[in-house]
Amino acid sequence: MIRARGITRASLLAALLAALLLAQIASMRPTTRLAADARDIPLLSSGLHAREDDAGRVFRWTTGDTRLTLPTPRGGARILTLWLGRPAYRRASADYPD
Amino acid sequence: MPRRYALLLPPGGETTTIALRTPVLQAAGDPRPLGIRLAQVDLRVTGARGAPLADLLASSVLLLVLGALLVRAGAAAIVRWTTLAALVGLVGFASWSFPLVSRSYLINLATAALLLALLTWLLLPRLEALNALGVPRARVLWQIALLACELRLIGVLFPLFGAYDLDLNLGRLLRVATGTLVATNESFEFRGGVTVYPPGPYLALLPGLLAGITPKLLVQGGIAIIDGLSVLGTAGLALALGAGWRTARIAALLHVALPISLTSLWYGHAAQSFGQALITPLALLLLVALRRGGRWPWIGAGVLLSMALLSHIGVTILAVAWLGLAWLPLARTAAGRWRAYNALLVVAGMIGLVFVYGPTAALKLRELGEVGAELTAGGSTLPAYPFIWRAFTISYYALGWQLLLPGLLLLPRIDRSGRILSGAWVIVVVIFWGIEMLSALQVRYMIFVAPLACLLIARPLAALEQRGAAGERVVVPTIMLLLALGAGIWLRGTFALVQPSMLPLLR
Repeated sequence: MIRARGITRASLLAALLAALLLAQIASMRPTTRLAADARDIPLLSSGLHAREDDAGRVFRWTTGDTRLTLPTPRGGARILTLWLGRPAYRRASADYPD
Repeated sequence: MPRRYALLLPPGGETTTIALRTPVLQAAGDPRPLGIRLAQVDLRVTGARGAPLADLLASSVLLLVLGALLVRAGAAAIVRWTTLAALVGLVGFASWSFPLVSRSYLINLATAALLLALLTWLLLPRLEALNALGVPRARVLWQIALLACELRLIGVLFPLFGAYDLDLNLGRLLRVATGTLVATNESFEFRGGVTVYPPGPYLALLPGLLAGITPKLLVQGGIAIIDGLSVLGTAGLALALGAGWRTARIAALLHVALPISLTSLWYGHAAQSFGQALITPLALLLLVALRRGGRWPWIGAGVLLSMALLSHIGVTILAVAWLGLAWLPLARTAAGRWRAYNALLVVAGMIGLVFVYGPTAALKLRELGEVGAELTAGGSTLPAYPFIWRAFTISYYALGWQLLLPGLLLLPRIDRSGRILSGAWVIVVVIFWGIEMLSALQVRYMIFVAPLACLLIARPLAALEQRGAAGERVVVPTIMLLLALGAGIWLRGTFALVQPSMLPLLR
């Protein structure tokens, strides 16, 4: 039987230390970054094709309906920055206004 | 050059979902719908006020539950502090190095810690109640089993790790769940011949789906726990063969990070690991049944053998060969036990035949007739001999491999049934090694003999440790070094995807 007395000073101290560590890391890293070549992408996204390489620049084509789910630290307003290449429909159509 | 678009968003929760909806185009020769080229997404939180609550909660549950488990298992203060410090380090490492998946990783680990607590609540009292062991030794063995489970779970629960054969296993799990109980496929190990994939491991895991565990976590986590708990069998075997407590403890410790066991997990040989984990408990129950008789050890052995036969064809071949070899020498045991042994083989064999191997027996017999055909036709069927040698040295640690022979020489005299079962175990390995040397046909005999190998490696180390403080000063760092080596291969494999050598499994 695992009793409450099993939760020792060592466990409480470790939990506290882990919480401080997580808080410190969160404050040191306010930016969550997801790059096209990240290993994490399949777990955090839907609607993206396989990675491609264009003269050293890695990217992925979206399927037209893409979702990215990013874990974020607690805080105030967020600044979302998207690094996007030219859309396929613009590349294909000369009539489409650039 | 990608363009940069920056948007200011209001404060939100601990997860942000970004949807990108655009018109699409299909290029000639490319069936994919193409929207926009995405290079990178950054999300910056202004005035970050600390870690997400989910991360804090998961890490607290992990540390508090494992701390409580260590207390329940009677771990010394130094073990508790060291383990908890290592876990705090793991939490920090995961959050710093893998910020996008660290939350799901911590939640996985916390859930696994709760599962280990449940197992401790169920199994540890039963282990403590064993007269042959006693409470203090039962607790030491449970600590070692927890260590083995944790090491495996730290790797397999990492969200970016997927075992090499994971997709095959998931496919088989879902096929079994939808009613296809016997699958066949061509196999490299059988040189392109057909292999049967029995449903046993997947049937055993299926209840986990009802608990809402995802198939990936169920297959990888379930097998990791089963494989981790098998270190208890290794210690039990050492005790049952009269090798003594020190040898049993060291053998279990060596099994914690044994390269061949962890390599098997890395490559996702789930069914093999599952069946293999049953072999040592089967040997233990057979020893009890042959020595003392009684109905329950025979029934228990029958259940374990049947489960082993329903788990993996390689395990089946090795188990049948092992118990078949022991059959004749055991004829001289008491008549009642000899009859019970025969009944065990017949009943378990029938279960295996009826539920798995019967439908494919004709096919396998036809293939059996073709064994050696390539050899007689002058085809190249010889194995790469250096690989076989290398596989042995990798499987049981390079140092461990050198201690096997001294271990064999240092084994104490054991009773007849122990001699027959352990002797047949070793002879089976020699036979299948010979078959591989002659024909390149491979059955994974190296993992089959892993518990015995741990015992043999542990024996010289235990003899050395017995020589007082000087012996301990040599043995303790040696064991820690071996554990660090095995764990290093495993953790580099799971976190950094550095592929461990496949030679112990395939050559």
